[in-house]
Amino acid sequence: MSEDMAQFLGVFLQEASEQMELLERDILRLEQEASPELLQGIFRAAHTLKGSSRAMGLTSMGELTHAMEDLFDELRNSRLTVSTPLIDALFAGLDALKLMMEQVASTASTDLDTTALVTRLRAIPAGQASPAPAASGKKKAPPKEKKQHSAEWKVALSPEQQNAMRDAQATGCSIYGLKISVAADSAMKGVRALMALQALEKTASLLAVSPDEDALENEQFEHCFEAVVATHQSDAALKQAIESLSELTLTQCQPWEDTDSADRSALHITLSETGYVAYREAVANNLRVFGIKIEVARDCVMKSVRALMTLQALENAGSILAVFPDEDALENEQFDLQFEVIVASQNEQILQQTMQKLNEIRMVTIVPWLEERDAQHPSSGQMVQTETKSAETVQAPQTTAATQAGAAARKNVAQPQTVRVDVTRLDNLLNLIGELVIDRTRIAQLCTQISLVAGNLPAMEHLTEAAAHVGRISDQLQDEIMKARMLPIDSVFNRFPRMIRDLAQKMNKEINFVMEGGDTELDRSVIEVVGDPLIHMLRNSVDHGVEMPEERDKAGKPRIGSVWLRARHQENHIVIEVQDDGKGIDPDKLRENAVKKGIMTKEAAARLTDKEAINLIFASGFSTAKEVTDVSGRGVGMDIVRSNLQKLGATVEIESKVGEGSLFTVRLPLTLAIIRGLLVTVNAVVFALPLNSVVETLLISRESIRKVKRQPTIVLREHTLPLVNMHDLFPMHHKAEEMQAVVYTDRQPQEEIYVVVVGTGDRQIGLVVDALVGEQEVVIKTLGKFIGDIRGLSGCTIMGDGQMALIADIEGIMTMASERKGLAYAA
Amino acid sequence: MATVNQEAVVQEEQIVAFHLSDECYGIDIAVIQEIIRRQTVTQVPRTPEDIEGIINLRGRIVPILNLRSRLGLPATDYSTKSRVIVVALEEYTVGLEVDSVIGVLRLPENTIEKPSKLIDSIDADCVRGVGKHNDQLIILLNLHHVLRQEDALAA
Repeated sequence: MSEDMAQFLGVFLQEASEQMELLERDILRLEQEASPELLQGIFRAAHTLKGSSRAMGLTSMGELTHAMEDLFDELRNSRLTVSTPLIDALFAGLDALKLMMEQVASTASTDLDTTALVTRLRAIPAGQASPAPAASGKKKAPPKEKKQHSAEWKVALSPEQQNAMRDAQATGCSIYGLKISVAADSAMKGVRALMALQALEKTASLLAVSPDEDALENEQFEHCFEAVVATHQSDAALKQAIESLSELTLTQCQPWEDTDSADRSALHITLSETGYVAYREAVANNLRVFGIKIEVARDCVMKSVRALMTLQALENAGSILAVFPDEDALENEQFDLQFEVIVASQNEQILQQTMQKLNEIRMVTIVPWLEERDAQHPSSGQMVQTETKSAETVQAPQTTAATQAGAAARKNVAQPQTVRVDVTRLDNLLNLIGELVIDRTRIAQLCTQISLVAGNLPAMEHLTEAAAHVGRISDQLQDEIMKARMLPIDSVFNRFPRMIRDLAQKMNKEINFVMEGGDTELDRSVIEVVGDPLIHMLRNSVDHGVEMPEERDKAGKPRIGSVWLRARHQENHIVIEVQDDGKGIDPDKLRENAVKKGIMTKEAAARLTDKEAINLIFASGFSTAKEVTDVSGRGVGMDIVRSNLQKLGATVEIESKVGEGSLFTVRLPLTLAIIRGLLVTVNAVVFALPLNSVVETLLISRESIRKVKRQPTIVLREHTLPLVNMHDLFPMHHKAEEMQAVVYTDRQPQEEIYVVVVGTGDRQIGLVVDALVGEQEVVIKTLGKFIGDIRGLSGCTIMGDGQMALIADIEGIMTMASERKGLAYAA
Repeated sequence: MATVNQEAVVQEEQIVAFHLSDECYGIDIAVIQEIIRRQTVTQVPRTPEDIEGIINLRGRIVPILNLRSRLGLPATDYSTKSRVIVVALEEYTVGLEVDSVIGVLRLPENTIEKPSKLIDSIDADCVRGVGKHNDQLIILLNLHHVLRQEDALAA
């Protein structure tokens, strides 16, 4: 697809996705209150969507939105009442639209069959409560296998398989494309293939196989077949699953990207400078510009003549702004059946009629042409204009006018002066600011040093002043840049109401979902990664938290359960809370479970406080649900959620009361690029410990160290705290002999040692360090490719004095420590 | 060899020559970013022995490789002549510690010989040839190999 087309599509996609977000949100609200204003808004959104999709030539999308729009119209005129089947059908429609949008985004066209869905939508006014057919339109759609992104993959996902894939991804699954080959001399390759599929089913869910299973069974394949699977396991686990069977090898296993590139109606043509001038003139003269792809019949004897004739005819019907390949090439037959033109004309019909009169010529595509250099002009004008033209047969003129006005008004309101900036540019800016922050600290330090020597010089005063000013400005600059990278958390939250509704319906629960603080802003880097953990926590609340309505009745609670999702700023953090008024977490049940699963002894479990017991749900391999449901999914437990959050530098805490509900509190850093660190020294190297993982610092006497199973430990407020010496975790090359002091021997002269308590909740360890240096904001830098990833370190940073500090990865350190000693946390 | 500067006209190679344990080595000048004095190196734990650590090169983090140790030469103390040659090769930027830098030399290509048995002090794969300058033998390093070894070790 040419750049210009992409630009044009981009405008459409962005607008359409805005409308769809609006629709999704408002259809949900519709269930609660069907106010005329709300309906009017919904109707308008659907109408705009219909118009623009038709303008883009996406007829099936237009059809579908038209059907939906009609329903809204009926609702608006009170000829129809809101019912669950109605809402379900509308959501099914919306889902199909989303799917189409994705297709359009990647291929500029969609091949989804929506007839069944349209019929279902159309049937609703007639039967009002006609039971929603089990299969939605997209399921009934003939499984048109889409062409795959790379030719090397034969396997492809049908629309419903893509749906399954997205569902799987939402539960944290990874999608892999596999190529499996059966040994050439295998006697029964069909059986082998099926065995492979069976083995895969154990560790993964199969999304698609090529050739299909019947063909495999009948040995209708060469020695290789392909599959797409969704799994929580690693690719290594898949490989093992396959290769534990004889005669089978996994020849290829790679993350699956479902970006198909079905035949794009891509145009390669672009406008030259002079062409652009002509384009601007044409637009100014109220002409409309089209990009047209034309194909000459294959058996045409004189392609070049036909092409030139076509150009001539078009020249009569309008004016040609560009031809691709150029006219010389066309004349010399240097083209392969197809060529492209950009034409300015009165309207589409004229062009179409012109083309129809020509023999041996076919118009492949015709799209309204919007030049990207035109971006600063309101692009919607062109779009709306197109819409009025193509919609005129269907739409009463006044409605169209209203939409036009509405669209224009919306443009004015919703688009204050904004500039789109490439994300990488923002990232670069942040990096530069990081440098500046480092130097600012350095200058401040130098000023202090110099003033000791030359404090009386008048220039010194100016220098201090200037340094302070630079400091203030760089602080402000940092703030502004951080703000520019901020997005409201709404962009993550928006998908949740729908998810909760679907979940509740699936489980026959009644849930009132309340979101607060959606306008809380978070750094882009955090926004990108926080969605998945939240999905799991919300699913957990709906699945395990909120009881069935009958149970709630019995317990004297309102039938409708509540789930809250809140976000707010708190000091240097964003706090996100997930709360439910469900049955709460029973610490005794968790203790019992922990013993049963062999996580701890009965005695140890009995010793846990209730709070510690509740925290057991974060222990790995712990799932309290009696059986695995498809809601919380299998495998991805709260342990994964917590460790994923901790990777972001976030902490999670739970409060829960049996019978009253649970509250999960997630504390997120504002950004992932700059952190506050506690600086400590170990073997003369400075380490920065991320402050959000630091619980406290202690100065303890050597004598207070006890050994529990050869593990040095101290007792801190009646709890034991395992100690880990940073010297042991991070052995250095130099001065190792003298410096590697072991805490619990008497080699170190001083009697008191510094301990930094790190971790969260029940998992805490004490890190023994040489000295505490202070607290500082540090900019995270990588150690570079040459050194690569080092366990226990997340990068390094440059401090104010130009020296470097290593940034500790607390999560990694905890794992390393427990591997070394087999530590039992919080015994 | 990608690093060989094959100037068709002059048929000369420009190299930067330096000392390591009384021997003379050379690197293609094209990969050299700069030559700096040795500065405070921050050790990085859990790295191979010959990675000295990292330095702050005007805001950039540059790892320092102890070339002597990498090539298996005996250790010597640092002197005021010690330098770090910062090279950029493929995706790496690495500082190489050397005893002292001699300077830029032009070696006629026809004087460069294939590595021979003459050099037994270091791994032959690390050498791409031997040049001569004023009767002084200059061992030309195959930096791709010298640095790539690292991957195998670190993995």
